[in-house]
Amino acid sequence: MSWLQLFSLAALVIPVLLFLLLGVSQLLHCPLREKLIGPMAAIGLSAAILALLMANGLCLYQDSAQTLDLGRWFSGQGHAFRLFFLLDVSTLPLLLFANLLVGVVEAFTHRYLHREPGYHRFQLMLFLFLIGLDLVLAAGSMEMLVAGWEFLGLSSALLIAFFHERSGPIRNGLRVFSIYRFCDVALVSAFLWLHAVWPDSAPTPWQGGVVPTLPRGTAEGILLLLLFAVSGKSALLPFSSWLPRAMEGPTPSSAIFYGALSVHAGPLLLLRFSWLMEQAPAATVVLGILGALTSLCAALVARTQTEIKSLLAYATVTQVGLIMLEISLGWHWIPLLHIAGHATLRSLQFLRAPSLLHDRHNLEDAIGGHLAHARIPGLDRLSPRQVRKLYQFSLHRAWLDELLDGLVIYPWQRWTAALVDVHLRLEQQLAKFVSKEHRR
Amino acid sequence: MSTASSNLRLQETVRKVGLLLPAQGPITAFVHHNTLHSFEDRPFEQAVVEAGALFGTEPFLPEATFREMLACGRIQYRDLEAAIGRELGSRGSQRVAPDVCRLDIWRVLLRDQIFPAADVRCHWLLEEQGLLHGLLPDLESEARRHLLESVLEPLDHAEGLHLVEKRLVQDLWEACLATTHEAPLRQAKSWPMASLERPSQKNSRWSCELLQTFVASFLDQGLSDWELPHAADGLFTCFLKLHSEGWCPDSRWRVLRQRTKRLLTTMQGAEACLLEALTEKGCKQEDWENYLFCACEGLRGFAGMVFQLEENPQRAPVAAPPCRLLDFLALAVLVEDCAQAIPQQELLEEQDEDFEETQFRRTIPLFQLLQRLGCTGNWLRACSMEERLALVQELEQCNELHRRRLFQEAYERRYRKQVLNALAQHPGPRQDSAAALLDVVLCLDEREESLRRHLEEADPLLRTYGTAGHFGVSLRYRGLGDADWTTLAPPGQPARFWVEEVARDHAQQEERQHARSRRHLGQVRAAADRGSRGLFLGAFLHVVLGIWSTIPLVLAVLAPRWFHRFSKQLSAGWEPHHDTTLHLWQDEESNPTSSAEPTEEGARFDLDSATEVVSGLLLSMGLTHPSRLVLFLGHGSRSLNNPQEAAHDCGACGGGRGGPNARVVARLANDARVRASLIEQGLEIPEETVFVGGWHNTCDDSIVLFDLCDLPDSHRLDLRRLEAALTSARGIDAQERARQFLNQSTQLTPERALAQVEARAHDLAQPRPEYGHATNATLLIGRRARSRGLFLDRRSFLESYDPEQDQDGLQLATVMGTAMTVCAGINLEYYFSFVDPFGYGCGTKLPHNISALLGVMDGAKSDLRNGLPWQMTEIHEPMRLLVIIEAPPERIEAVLAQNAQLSRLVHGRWLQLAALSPHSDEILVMEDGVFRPHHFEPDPLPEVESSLKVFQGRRGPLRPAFIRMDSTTASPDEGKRTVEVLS
Repeated sequence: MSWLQLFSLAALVIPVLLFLLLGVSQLLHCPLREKLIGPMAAIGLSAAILALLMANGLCLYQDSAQTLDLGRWFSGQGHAFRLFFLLDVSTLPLLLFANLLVGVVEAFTHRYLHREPGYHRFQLMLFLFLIGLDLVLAAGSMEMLVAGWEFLGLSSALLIAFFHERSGPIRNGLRVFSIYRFCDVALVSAFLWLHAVWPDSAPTPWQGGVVPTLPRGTAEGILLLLLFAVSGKSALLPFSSWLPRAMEGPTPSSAIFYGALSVHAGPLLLLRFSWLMEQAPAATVVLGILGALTSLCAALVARTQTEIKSLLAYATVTQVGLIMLEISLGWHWIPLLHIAGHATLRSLQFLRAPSLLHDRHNLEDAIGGHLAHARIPGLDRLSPRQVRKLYQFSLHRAWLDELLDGLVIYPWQRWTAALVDVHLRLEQQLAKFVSKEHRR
Repeated sequence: MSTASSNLRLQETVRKVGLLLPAQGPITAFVHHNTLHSFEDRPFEQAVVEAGALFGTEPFLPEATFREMLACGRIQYRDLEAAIGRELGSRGSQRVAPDVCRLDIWRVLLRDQIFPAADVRCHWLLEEQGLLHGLLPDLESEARRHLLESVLEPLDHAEGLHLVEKRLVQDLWEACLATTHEAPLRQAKSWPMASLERPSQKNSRWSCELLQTFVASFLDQGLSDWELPHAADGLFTCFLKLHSEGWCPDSRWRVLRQRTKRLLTTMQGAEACLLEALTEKGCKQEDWENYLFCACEGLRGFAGMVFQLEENPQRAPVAAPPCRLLDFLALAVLVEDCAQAIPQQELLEEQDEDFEETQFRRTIPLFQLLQRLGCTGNWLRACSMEERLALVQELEQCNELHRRRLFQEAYERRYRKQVLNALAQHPGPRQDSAAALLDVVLCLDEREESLRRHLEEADPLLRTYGTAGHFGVSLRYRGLGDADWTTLAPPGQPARFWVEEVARDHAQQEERQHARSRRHLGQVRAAADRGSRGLFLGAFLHVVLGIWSTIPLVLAVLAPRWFHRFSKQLSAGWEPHHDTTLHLWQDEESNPTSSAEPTEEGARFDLDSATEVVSGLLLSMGLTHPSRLVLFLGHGSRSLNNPQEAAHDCGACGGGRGGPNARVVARLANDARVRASLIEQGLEIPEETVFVGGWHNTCDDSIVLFDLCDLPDSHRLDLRRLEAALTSARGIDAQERARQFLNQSTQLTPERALAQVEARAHDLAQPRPEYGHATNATLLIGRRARSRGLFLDRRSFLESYDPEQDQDGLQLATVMGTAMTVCAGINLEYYFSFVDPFGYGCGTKLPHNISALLGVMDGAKSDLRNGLPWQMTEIHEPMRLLVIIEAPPERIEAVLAQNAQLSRLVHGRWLQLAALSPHSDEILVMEDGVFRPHHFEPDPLPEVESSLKVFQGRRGPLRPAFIRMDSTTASPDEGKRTVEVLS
């Protein structure tokens, strides 16, 4: 095993170990003390970051992409589930970046959640999140990518419902989880389809790699499915409204998940399938349009938000939409830079959100007056009636919640209720029938 | 009835409803007040229960918490006995059943754990816990023996003991069950509103969210970028205009559009709309209040904010929009009506428990009680019907609520005994020492108690005084580099002086440049901040500059103190200049900076009012013979990650920082003309006395002294001595505070402790920059000599008052009037926020979301949350304030007779009152409206050498101790390092 592989392996294993240590100790009813977890996590994550730094250095120095094959988990007819990671010049920096951000937020939470009853739970979920992220970023097989994707969704939904003594977080956590699951179906379908047309399919490296030429329709179909999967996780239209609802957890979880890393999982996934875009021009155009529309809509909605966290959430959606647009244009490095810059700046803003009054006061002192409302370009060209309508559209967040409720959730509830009803009736009939038989 | 009179009636009712709502104004100027201010006309015990029913909140701590305290000795049995004795009085010895008096029953009920027999637990207790298989496991051996002897003549067949026990218990159970079957069920009235019951319908989530969104935009003080159209038309009309047309996602919206459109065309106002709705629902006039109060369900925070801004628009941070509670209520009713267009999903209704369950619930306590009393089933059957009923009735009398109340009294009694004993045994002189070299006047705040103690320990020739932290001056103040004027005065008091901080002449040129740089940088920052949330500028910023924010992100999180210092260094080139002076004038027009010819020293004030301020301040504290150097030390707090930052500031300054007040009063007291007119009034301040103002930051324990360049050279040595004392005191103060924080060692050196508290203040990740007023419990009004050297654990407000110099009681009236109301407000707010952190407090701070720059929400969207967060109160001990006044009881009673509010607080038992005799160690305690002598328990006061010995290595509340000062003498040259001092 080469040094590069060894360092990468260490970085990938550390969060798993931390997760297991925390989880098992809690399962055995002897949770570790807060004083122990803090330093342990700090040492562990620093080690992971150092290892990744070394790996990055080696990768740049050797200028060669490598893989890490940990063997197979199981295999069946013609297919094997391989634990296989890609270590190349675009994966490793992203792994480093993700570990760095999680490390910073971990240090933050150690103080922020001190004395909080859910301290352990939070740390556990943070490590699960990091495992998921590592998998999504470095996965060498579709199955591992899906597994990582699910870990992201699970940890994220559980952290939204972190304060489970109130009903709001539970309701919103469930909502986000349902949207995730709904869209995950598309991800799995896309991968199955890809498997069917290209038997040894695997996520390709960011650049290069051998890719097949797919039939036009298949490529379009797969990309559209991927796009659907991504629009849930990255809060594109029509799912944008879950992002502000996700601000139920403690502030650092809002920062790391919805400001920094989780929302960017979508663009990162699409970047790995950028080869597909060359073969599916129509779906790529759809992606661009969706990104642009999301961005415009979110920018408009952000204008009227009066809570700092929803404001930042819509600002985040604005940028994610733009990143999607950039990807659809076939760019590669600009979206990556955009993701990295956006993730750090936005998490800083989220972490400062509770200090808003303090910061704003300082800013107003410096300027020497109150901050005026912004001038919104083009607004004065509209009639008052149009302004009212636009304001309402923005204030009620484009009615996306109502739309989802009305088009999907309520009908779904009705169908299931009807199904249950039919089922019960059948059961009754059956019971009657059986009892008659019995009596006879 | 005519429309006009209906409207009038409606407005009155709405006002009444408004008074019931949370009375917390904008969070930027947090003023502590009694959370149940509107219930102050009732006795405390009644008020908390009624408010609890109305708001769905807890009146006292849970019984389980009290029982834990009982187990660990925080509450003692004799305290409980005393509480029961006081409650029952002569009724205690009355016989309820043969050989059982009322006191016995109550004792058992309070002392021993009687399983709370709430509904579902009944069966569990019976079946799983084996309640019917044997006697209670923790039964006293006396009672057990008694019970077993009654059925078992010779106690010899040991093998069958458990069978005997089982038979005995089941027999008792049968008898108890029969008894409760006979006893009539009484329904308690739980809804305290004048009329009817609580309406069953609750506001739907849809209507709550809609209103929360809209009202937040309406009240917004500048967080959103887009101004709400038609905001000037008022809350109601603005809502109608905005919502009368547009897309309808579902039928609720359709109804909403129709109704708003109709209201707009008929030009109906909010009154008419509300009246119509009330008539439509068949709501009688006497039910209006009830109905309207319930219409705020789920929106009380916003409704309260609307009402506060309606009543006190000047408290808005920027500008209060034209809002009325009536508009809000009309909207709440209107929107809720629309919400009914989609039938609500039926929630599972609480099922009425069946008869058997109820009987079980009533029987279990009786069953346990009788076991503990050592009574058998036969004994119960032998009782007469009346006696059996009396037993059940007694159980219902001493219900959970009642027990918690008694526990609360016992809990308070334990602490009261400790403090009163300590005061009575205090060995020091009764007079303040006359030979002092330094005087320090601080706020009466309990957080300054430790600083005062450490100052006195550091320098035996230093005296300290305490008074309300605005030092008697009410200011409109603007510091150098401040954008806005702030009012630094007790809430409701008008400002008497206008004060502006300006750079001294030689620094003005530089300051102008700094201000320019500040403005430019600020504009860039504001544009970048706004841009980062926008579309195109945002994209540019994130792509090009975003990645650089890794540096501040990592540094601010990993090394907050270092990062703060570094950014301070960086910004030194444009920070407001530190060499400043004050411009002072008395009304808005006569601003000397704007007028053509500035007056002498930039000050223009009315001599009489200045003299009044100074003499009033000095006389109220009894500081009539000041030493050579007198320091007025205001206080405030600066911290990050803390929307409730203002709650840590000085309450007497209206939730502002009291440094300027101290600076102004020092300036006035130094003025030769003021001194001359003071002599005319008979108050002679020695020529050599010099006053200095200063500011203590209670969060990072830094101290700044102002205008030191004006200090005469003759006083340089005194200043060095003062600085030495301050340096030493603030270090130990930080040490003493560090023990409150669980994630800090209790063995820090002063330097480390100071570094730690500084890091806390500038840490984005720190939800507990300081604990504020948590643990406050006492207010001591009297001479410092009576408490000097007492270790009071930062729990005591200390107000200076000299009873010898105030024979007519005039000073006492002012001192009590301000100190008691302010301190009781703080104390009660902490009480309620601790007792019910979710109902009265604002829950945990971790998911808070600042809304409209006015308050905080929980998570993504919720009602505005009032009160204090758990992180501020978690170490508190919720007790009513114990006020101890060193004055003859007649004088105190005379003040109470004149001050209606104080009298309500005292006689309604919202606080505890004790009088300390000025000439002896005798203490009288107010009980049921009269002063009664306090009985001391033999409890020697520990004596130690220094505060450090008391608190080092220990956490949690500490008992009072006496610190012998003679062993610690500090020489003026000891502290070479000077405190952080400006100018």
